[in-house]
Amino acid sequence: MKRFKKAAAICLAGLTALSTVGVTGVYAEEANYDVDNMEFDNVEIRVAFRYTSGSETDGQSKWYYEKLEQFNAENEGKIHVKDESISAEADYEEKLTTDFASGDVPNAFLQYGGSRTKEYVDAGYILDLTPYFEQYPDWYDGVQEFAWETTQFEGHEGTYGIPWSSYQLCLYYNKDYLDQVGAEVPESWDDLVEVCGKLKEAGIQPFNYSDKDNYHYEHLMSAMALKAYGPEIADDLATDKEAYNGEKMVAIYQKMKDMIDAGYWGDAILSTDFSTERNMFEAGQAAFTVDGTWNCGNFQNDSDTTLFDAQKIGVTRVPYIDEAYKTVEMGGGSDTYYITTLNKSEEEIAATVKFIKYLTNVDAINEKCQYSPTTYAEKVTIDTGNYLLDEVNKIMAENTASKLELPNYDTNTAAMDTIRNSLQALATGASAQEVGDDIVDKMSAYE
Amino acid sequence: MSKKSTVPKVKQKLDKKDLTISILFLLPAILICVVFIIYPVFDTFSLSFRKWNGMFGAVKEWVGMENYYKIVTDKMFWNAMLNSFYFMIGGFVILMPLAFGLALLVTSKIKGTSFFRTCYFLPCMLGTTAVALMWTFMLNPNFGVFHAIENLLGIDMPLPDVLTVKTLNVWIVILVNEWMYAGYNMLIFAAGLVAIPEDLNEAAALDGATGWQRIRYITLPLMKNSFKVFSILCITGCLKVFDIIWAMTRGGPNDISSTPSIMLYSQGFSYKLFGRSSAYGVILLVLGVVLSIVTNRIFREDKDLAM
Repeated sequence: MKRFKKAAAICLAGLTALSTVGVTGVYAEEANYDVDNMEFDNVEIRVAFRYTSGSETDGQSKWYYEKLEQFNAENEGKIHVKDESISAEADYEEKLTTDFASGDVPNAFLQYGGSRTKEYVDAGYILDLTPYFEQYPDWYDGVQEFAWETTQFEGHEGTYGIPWSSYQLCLYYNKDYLDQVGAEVPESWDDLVEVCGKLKEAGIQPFNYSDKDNYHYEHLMSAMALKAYGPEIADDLATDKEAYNGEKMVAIYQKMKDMIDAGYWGDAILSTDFSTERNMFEAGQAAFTVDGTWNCGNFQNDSDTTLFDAQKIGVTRVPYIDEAYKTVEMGGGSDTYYITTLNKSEEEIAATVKFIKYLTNVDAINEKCQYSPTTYAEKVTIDTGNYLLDEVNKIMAENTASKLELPNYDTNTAAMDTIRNSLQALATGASAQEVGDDIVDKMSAYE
Repeated sequence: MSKKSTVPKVKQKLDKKDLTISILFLLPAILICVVFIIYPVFDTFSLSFRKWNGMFGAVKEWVGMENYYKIVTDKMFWNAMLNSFYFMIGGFVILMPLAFGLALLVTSKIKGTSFFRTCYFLPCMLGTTAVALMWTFMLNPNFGVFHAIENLLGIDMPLPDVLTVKTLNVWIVILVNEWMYAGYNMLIFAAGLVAIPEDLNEAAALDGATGWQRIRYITLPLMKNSFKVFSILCITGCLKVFDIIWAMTRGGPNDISSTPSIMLYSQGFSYKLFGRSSAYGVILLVLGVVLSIVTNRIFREDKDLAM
């Protein structure tokens, strides 16, 4: 009996050791990150981005759908990618929220970093791409250093996504109108106010500012605060050293309100959306427009390209408030792809990485830039012939610091929506202090 | 005796069969009701006492009455309730007389009532989003129809951005809502009107009653049920109004035109406070039920007069 027990014990020990070897073997197989050389068998993956299917004017969407078709054709019988894109931001966010609540999430999705994405990372549902970047160093090296901020999250080591676009808020102007009133391109905020006064006197509407989509005021507020107080303001607000209803921020809202009260931003701010603002600028109905660097491509691709073709559009930095922060900008990495692990098999994850790599390698982004000339996160080398983009690249090369939108740094996940909503009140007659108090009041309700 | 004893037996057998068949027929409806109404209501009720960020697998932490406390101490909730109240006022002061008037018109003996009926019902057939977008474009101060009219008349005066002015924007939406649903509610009143026996009106006319007197003393009392149906639909509809205001103002700017349903949506989908969003749902449900019962009680008096 004793012998039998001994033999059984040895056998069990052997089996245990063998199973460990087996597990190690399996682990070694699972730890393969070379997705380009993996074998896939009819894997279907779903991706949710913000492209517009069938759009002829949106160069990025056009490029994406062509690449999607190409990828599916190249991987027939191996990987099939199903696109679930929704272009409208609110509807897209709603879809993501519902998907993450039900556990039926797409394999890859698009976000912009910050507190919204952090929730998913905190929950452990986003793939750390570090080992894949180690496998494909060119893929990682293809991205500009400043753009990685959207993939880094406090309390988590690793790189949780791949950015593909970058941006900076810029001031676009109609060269003819400035010449007409004998004005120089404004460098400081005071210069801008002065030029607006001259334009108004000459019967030229300075801006047709839009905030129907409710992000525009918040973008400008972020840029103005950075240009008044430097990049530290982002952390100061996030750590409550500064408050959104404090003296510094109220001074920024006041500058915005002064522009509204003087009529420099137009009469229908909350009824105008960003594309209408751009179209009105293109049609010569305003001397200025403020928006991201994506406008370089939009001006080239829109239906009315008269001003762009005649090179009558100029681009410059958002005017500084304190000259010391002239080259501090609101911008950085923007659109970023994230890969989900929630209820996903290893094979699905690998197939998704393969597809995302297909979309974001430098060659692909160079091609995308041809379709839509704008600023990208990747090191684009091609010359698109877009004169505005050349100007923007020169400006960005001289930046001393850049920060994302200020609410992105707040730990309160409601920060972005509450700040954007409260700022709209500037256009409905609220005072600068009331707006600041409203932001703090509302944010406290969501803590 | 034997006959007497066998008859109930047969009946009992038939009853059981009938019962089984009835249950089988009812089962799909009951199942749908349980899955899509009863279970979600209980689940919402349970979630309203918890904190959940809407993340699959995340713990739904018990917080007791905290969600309800935060709602009733939030000024935005009261602003949203006030906007719903405006909708109710609009419903009773504008929509009800308008729909009743249209019903009187289309059930009268004038020529072309079918044409009028179709015309009045057309806005309702367009769909809320289409109607909302159409009016939003028309009211746009940059390129709307009123702007075009101004241009045509050579008037150079900036038009007010009416959908961004506090309270006014809610009333604009209310007016669009009444314009849209007047035809639908006309049908409710028209159904009540055609059910009134013609003899009563003829007898009253012979007794010398004027048109207004006939409406006041015959039509209105005999249409109590129609008014009850309208009132309940109006109160519950106004309490949970979402689509038209969402399509026209998205509850903005800065939440000033929000309604409780919009708050419910934004708490859940923008702020990911699903517990608080559920508490909004429970408050709306309770208010809806209570107000419906109160309305029923008000209209229960003089039961024999109602048709």
